[in-house]
Amino acid sequence: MLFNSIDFLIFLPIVVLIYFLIPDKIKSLWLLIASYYFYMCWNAKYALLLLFSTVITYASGLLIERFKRKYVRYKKYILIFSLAANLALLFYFKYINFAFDILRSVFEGMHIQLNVPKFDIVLPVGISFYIFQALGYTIDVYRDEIYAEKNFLKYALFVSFFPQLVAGPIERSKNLLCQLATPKKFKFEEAREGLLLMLWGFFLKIVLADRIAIFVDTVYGDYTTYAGYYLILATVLFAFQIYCDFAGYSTIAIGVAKILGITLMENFKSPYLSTSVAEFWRNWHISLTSWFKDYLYIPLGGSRKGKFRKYLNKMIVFLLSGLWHGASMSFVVWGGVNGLYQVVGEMLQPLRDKFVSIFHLHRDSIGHKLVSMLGTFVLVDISWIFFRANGFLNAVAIIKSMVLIKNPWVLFDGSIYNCGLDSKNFWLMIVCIGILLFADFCKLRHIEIRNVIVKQDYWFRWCFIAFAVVAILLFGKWGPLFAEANFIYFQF
Amino acid sequence: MYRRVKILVGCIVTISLIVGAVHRLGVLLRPVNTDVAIHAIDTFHDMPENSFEVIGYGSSHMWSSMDPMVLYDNYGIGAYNYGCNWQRINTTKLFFEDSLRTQSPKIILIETYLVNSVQQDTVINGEIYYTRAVDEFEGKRSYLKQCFGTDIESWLSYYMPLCAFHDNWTNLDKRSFESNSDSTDFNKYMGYLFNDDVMPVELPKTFVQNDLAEESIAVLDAIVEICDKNDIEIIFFTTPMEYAYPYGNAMTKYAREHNCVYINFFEYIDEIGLNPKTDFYDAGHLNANGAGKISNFLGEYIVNNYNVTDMRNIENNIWEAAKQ
Repeated sequence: MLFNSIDFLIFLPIVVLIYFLIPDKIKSLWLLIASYYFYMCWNAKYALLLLFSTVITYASGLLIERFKRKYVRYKKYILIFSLAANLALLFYFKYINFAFDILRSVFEGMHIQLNVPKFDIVLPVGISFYIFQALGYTIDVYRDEIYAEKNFLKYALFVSFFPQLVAGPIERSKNLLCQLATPKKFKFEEAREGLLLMLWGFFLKIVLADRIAIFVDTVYGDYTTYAGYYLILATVLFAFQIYCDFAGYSTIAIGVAKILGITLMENFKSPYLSTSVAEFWRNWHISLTSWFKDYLYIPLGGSRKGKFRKYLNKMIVFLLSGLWHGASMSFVVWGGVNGLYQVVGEMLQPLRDKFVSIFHLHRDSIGHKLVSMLGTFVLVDISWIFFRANGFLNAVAIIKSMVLIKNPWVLFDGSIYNCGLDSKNFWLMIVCIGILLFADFCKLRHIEIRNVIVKQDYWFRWCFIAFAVVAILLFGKWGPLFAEANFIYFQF
Repeated sequence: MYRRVKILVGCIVTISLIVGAVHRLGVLLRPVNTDVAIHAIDTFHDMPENSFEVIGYGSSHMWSSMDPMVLYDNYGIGAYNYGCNWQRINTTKLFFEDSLRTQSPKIILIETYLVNSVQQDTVINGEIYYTRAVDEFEGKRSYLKQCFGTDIESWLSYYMPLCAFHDNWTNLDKRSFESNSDSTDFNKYMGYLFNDDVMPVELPKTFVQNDLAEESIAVLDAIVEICDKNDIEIIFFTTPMEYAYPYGNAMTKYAREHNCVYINFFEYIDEIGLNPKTDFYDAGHLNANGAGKISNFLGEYIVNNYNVTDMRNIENNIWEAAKQ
């Protein structure tokens, strides 16, 4: 069940209505049933995997807590068992064919024919998200940062809470468990905020991401025909597509949870207005980046063990982050490129400081910030090519085409209107990207547009909400002539 | 209390604004090329009850080939052409059932160009859209069920056209802002789509024959069953066109087995004097000249084989009124 489907628009009001009508005692149970139903709409039997991960991490949490005083050694074993069981599940369903492919290639390199089986596995939706969330909980219990949850139903709800189950944000037990433990009462202000967030999320997804996708898919789908500047434009647009797609999902998830009285963590903070790649990664997919930081980078030693280890740790984190996104070498390269940006950026920091000092540049000036933003965007966008292209070799071919083929006139002679979007749709897309950047700029200045709307006169609020809904219905890509597009991050 | 009332009023006003805008935009963004069909359906619904003894159904091939005024003028037959563009066989059945709610025809004529095409798409196209002009009744419900099945989005789109046609905002033009942009005078021709343009065509020489699909036969059976119950005679016919018609044999067989009449006009081209150089307005459709020849043949056949009232003997009838 996709957020942008009619099914979800029927499912959500039913869940919300019943949640606020039933007695407090059974509210968690109701949300758990709704969450499992939501998940089972994709593939009912894969709910068993969700249950398996839940049972393992729940039992591990209880055992770790039991052994934490007397048998400290055992709690480490239990943690290792929980990590191994969950990661094995993830490995089997997501990486086994990839691993065998690598193995086969290595042996072929040594001229040895290796017959390894090819598994026909359908990737369970959201497996990387809920396993990471459940593992985060186990590690938190191990670190004594939280108490183990005794109530299985409440814990199962924490792992499967439907708004963020299949594409995040990957929530922390410290934030979500205690919220789910308390039954919520309906609050109009929260519901209104949730609905406004959902509206913004739908705008990002069905008006922007799905519209940009038409252009990007056309160009990337035939990059030999649409060469040079077509690819440059499509690559710039893809940066916005993936942002709107993923941020759209996260925002709808946060909005849905808000209606139910639950506050989920923010997942994006104006990432394309970042002035360095490091800052970009602090603002992009925050729940995953911070997960890797808390549960991998810091345990590896972080920056405490010298520069070399720091750089090595960063590379490990980014390579694994790439691998988390997909079982493909191009995702690993994408992660590696982003890791390299940061390592090289830090290595060159003294040089950059010197440059700024010699030329008396002001880092706080608008010009400097703009150039930094643009530079960061270009670097990040280059890495997106590996993310979007269909394999590593295609990505290299696309970069070659972008560098070698000079056809800037296609941007001006109307040729770009033959890539799936006519001129009206193309310019609507540009205007909407402008709205997105404006909203992000406001966010950067700590101005939340929805708070500004809420403070206006009642008549303005009513008209604004009605206008926003109608505009999304009018300009969104939805309906029977347009099959709902999956959210890109579902595949992870 | 005051706060709750304010919230309630706010919600009602906002929802009303959304519903109003969705409705208005649904009208603006409709497929305007269906305006002509909707106009034709509305015109039929405005006709006095129990006026017609002969009614024609079918796609644009029927619409442009049977001229009720020729049937009236030359044979006194009280006929109406309830054809419509694209009308596939199950849409024809819907139109037939719809007409029985206000009319009691003795004979129905069904043009068979789309006899083997059953409307089932869940994508809302123009053909489904124009059936919105047909009032809700049992026959329409089962037609929509056949078209949409359990696809919620299609049902929603049918009753909320913005859902299916919102992308039409790029095609808005003057016609979109009119409630019905079509100005065809269907009263004047009793539903017939008059066109006197001329385009020479080449008629086919060979005809590869195919069988009818089971689902098409099922729809035909349902039509025949309704006719049997209501004591209505059926005449199936096929008008000539530039493309070879592949169901001539199948329709002959079907008509024989079900005691109906089937006239394949490809076999009567010389007899009726149809001239491919002068009697068509495009590759698939007869012009007024060609329609006159088909209508005369049908009129002759009807008066010779069935007992129909000579409407010319009834004063102030609707055909005379149409001439005014």
